[in-house]
Amino acid sequence: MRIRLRWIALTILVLSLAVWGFSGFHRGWSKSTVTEMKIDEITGLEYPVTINSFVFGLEMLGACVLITCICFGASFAFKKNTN
Amino acid sequence: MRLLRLKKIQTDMINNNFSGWTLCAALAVFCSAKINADPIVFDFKDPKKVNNALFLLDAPLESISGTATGISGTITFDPEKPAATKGKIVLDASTLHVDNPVMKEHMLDKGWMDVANHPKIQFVAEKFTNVKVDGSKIQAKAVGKFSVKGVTKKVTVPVTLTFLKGMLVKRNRVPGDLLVLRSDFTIKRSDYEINPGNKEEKVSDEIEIKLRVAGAAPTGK
Repeated sequence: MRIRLRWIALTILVLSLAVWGFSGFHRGWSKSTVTEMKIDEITGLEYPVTINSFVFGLEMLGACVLITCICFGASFAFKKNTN
Repeated sequence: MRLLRLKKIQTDMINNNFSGWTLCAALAVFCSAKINADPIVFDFKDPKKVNNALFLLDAPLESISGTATGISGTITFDPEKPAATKGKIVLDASTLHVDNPVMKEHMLDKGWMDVANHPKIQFVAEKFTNVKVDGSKIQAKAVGKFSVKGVTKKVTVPVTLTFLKGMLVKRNRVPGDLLVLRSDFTIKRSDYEINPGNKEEKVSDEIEIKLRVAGAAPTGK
């Protein structure tokens, strides 16, 4: 159980860092949409285009790191397998 | 040729010729119509959602930026008298958008924008001052009333108008003119009773607004 919890903690940490990286290391809150600015050719006006896309934010990364710490900490509650 | 025609008109006038007088009267009417051309009414309702307002709040702990696209309203513009420009730009408050869904819910909620009870944000331009014309571009200060969340304040904001004559056909395939309006200005949320004095470390009191809109005036109307 001790080793299994540590593996779970490591997996959560690696996966969350990977997802955060794929989201572009976004340092703000999570987003459910992404707004891009485009330019109207005739008027020259900049206008927003909203695309539905999930961006992994720092609060999600923080939550994953917290779960990792809990799993890792909990692993010490179990005895070492002496066999 | 023109001189000869004018001379004939003159001769006809002298001879009290009816057709000459008629032509002269028609010319006079045409000229006066040109001089006193009616101002053009531009409609800012935009189904393509190009018309937009951006807002930015830069607080010490957090920077929030968002958009809004539910723009409508009309502006009466006379290319010969830009100072006489008047009109109203209305924003549907429910179209205010930030990318974070929880933040958006809070923003539209009763504690902040209270969109259910105050569905419209509007600017009514009453007069234009300090008008500077540079070709098709007109820079001015728009004096008017800005209403947010049921609070109306008199404001003066810088505006840049660009009159694009005959360009509507390129955009909407309908003959007509376009009027592009750009305006950057700042308001204080405390002035408009938007949760005044609360959470200023995360939601700044000053709201920077960038209005980017274009109005259409089809000539066939």
